[in-house]
Amino acid sequence: MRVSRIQLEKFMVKIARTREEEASCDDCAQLSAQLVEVLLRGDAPNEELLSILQHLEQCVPCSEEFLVLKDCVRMELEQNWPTLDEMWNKLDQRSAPPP
Amino acid sequence: MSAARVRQRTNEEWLSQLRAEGTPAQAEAIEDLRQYLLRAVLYFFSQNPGDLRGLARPEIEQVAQDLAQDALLTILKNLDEFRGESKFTTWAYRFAINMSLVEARRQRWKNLSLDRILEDSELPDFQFEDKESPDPDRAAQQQEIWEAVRDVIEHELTDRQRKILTAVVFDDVPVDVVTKEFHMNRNAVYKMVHDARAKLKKRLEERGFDVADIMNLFGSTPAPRMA
Repeated sequence: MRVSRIQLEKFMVKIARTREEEASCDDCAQLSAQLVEVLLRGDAPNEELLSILQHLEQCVPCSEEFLVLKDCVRMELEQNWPTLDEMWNKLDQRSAPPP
Repeated sequence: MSAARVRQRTNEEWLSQLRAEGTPAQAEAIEDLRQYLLRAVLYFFSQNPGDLRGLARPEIEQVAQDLAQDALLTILKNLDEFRGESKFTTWAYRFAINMSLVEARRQRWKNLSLDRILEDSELPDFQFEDKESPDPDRAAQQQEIWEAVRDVIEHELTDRQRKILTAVVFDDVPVDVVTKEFHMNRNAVYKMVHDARAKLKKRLEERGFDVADIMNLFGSTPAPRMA
C-alpha cells in the first residue's frame, strides 16, 4: 500500500477534529437539504446543522454528495442551469475513451 | 428541458399533486419531477465523466434515465419522510445525486479487485523526515505522531476495523464498496471509522499530543469548503 503525505496530513486533521459523538450518515441525509439552503442564504447554521457540517468534514461520500447538491440548488436559485446540450457536449468530450 | 416547460410549485403543491392518484395533475407532477432529477443526474455526470469513460452516449443516456427513474420511485415511496424544512426540489435532488454517485463509484471499481487491497492492509513506513526538510524538528514531531498512529492501527484495532479503516482512509475504497464487501450499512462503516479515529485521538492525547499540536503539525492542507 502506498500513501501520500497529503493523505496522511488529511487523516491526522480528521483525527484531531474527531468528536466523541458525531452525526451519522442518516442524520446527514435527513438534514443536508436544509443545510444547503441555510448556507446559500448566508444564514448561520444552528447547533444541529453544525454537527452535520462536522460530519461532512469527516465523511467523504456525504461531502461529495453535499457539494453536488449545493451546486444544483444554487443553479436552481440563480436560474442558470447549463442546458441539456451543454451538459451532453461536456460529457461527450470528456468521456470519450483515451486514444 | 427548459425552465419554461417545468412549472414552479410550492412544497404543498408538489405533495398534493404527487399524491393525487390517477389524475392528470399527478402525471404532470411526476413527469416534471423526473425532469428535475434527470437534470441533476446529467449535471453530476457532466462534472465527473471519468467514471463513465468508455461508455457510448446511448449507454450513458440509459444509465441517466434509469437513475432518474430509480430516484423518482424512491421519492414517491418516501413522500411522508419530507419534513418541509427545505424546498421539496432540494430534498428530491439529494436522492438523484446519491444514486448517481453510487453508480459512479460502482463503475470505477467494477474491474478492480478489493481482495488484493484488503490483503495488503499493512501500513507503509512513511518518512516525514528527509535531508531536504526545511524544518527537521517539525518533521521529527510529525514522524513521532505518525509512528504512534501506525502503532495503534496495527496493534489496538480489531482486524475488521483495521481493514475497513485502511481501505477507506488510505486506499480510497468507496464506502458503498466496503458496505457490500463487509455486509454492513453506511452508518455502521462510518461508526467503525469514527471509533477508530476516537481511539487514535485518545492515544495521542495520552502520549502528550493534543489537538492544537496535531493541527499545527499537519493542518496545512485545507479541508474542502462546505460552507
